[in-house]
Amino acid sequence: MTGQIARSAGRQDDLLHLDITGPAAVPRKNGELVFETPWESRAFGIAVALSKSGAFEWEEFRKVLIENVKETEKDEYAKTHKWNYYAIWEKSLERLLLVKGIISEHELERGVIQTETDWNHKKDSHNHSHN
Amino acid sequence: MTAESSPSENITTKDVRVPPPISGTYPVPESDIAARVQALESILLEKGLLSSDAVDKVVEAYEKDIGPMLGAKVVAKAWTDSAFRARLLENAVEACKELGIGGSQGEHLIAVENTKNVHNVIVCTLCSCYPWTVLGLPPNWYKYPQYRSRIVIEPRKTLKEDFGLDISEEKEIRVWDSSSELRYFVVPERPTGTENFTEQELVSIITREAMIGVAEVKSP
Repeated sequence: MTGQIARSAGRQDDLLHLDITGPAAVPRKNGELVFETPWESRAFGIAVALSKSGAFEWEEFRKVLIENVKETEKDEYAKTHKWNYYAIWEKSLERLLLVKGIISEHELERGVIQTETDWNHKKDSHNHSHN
Repeated sequence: MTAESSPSENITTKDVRVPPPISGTYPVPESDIAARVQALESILLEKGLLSSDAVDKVVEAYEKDIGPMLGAKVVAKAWTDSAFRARLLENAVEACKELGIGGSQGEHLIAVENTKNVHNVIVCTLCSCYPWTVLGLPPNWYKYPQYRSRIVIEPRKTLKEDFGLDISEEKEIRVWDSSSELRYFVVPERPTGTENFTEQELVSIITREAMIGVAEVKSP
């Protein structure tokens, strides 16, 4: 995550129309980081970007998210364990995209397999080079 | 289902079919979810519905700029400008606009002020409504059912046990329940010893936790 912050600090010109003053170092002093893992921030960013580009209304996504959070809270396992909010976020995004026909189940499953294959391949070749 | 039944929401909301609930979600290896996120992004990129850059920009903006920095600016201004403070408590949406901070999602924002007699704390008992425009994204604990139910039932004890914040018995604690239309944030008390601080120096000591009401601002 440190890398992301450093990267954003060098990209002031690209930022959304926000007039921020003060040194870039201050937000880092100001509490913990918002996302615990990179995939959480990607899941968040994809949903917000899609609502901005008009693929769906923010409110549509929010409804699905609330519904899924409530369902999760009824889950016996979730009652006694900490649950990951962005896992529900991801599931909600997936469901909304499927329901709206923006992506198909087939495309998604194929994409997941492709991603896992790519990752395993990277892992294998990484291990290989160190052997 | 209170959020869905509110009339003001129906104006802006299209009907949407809510997909079937998640079942058998737990436990799921985190790498599985990460792969699904990556797959979604790749598919949407391929379809031209998304650009990686757009996602980067959103994440950066929320992490860095729309984060608690904006709220800290508002609070520091309120501490140093009593006329602004009065306007903020009267109408937070308009006061924030003066600083160029505006809600894109149109929720109503209310600033609640801590005093020597009152301590405020915010929560969303329904889901995770949060004053995004001033505080960025909520911390994970804000979304956990434990915080959401307990802070309402026993705020003094929760603040002490979970956050190490000791609020004296003489002080009244007010718990504000956010909703999709109405979001609160806390204007903490200005710590003593900061009389000579510039607004920028004040900004640097104001934390997200203080603006949620689970911490006090401390003089460095």
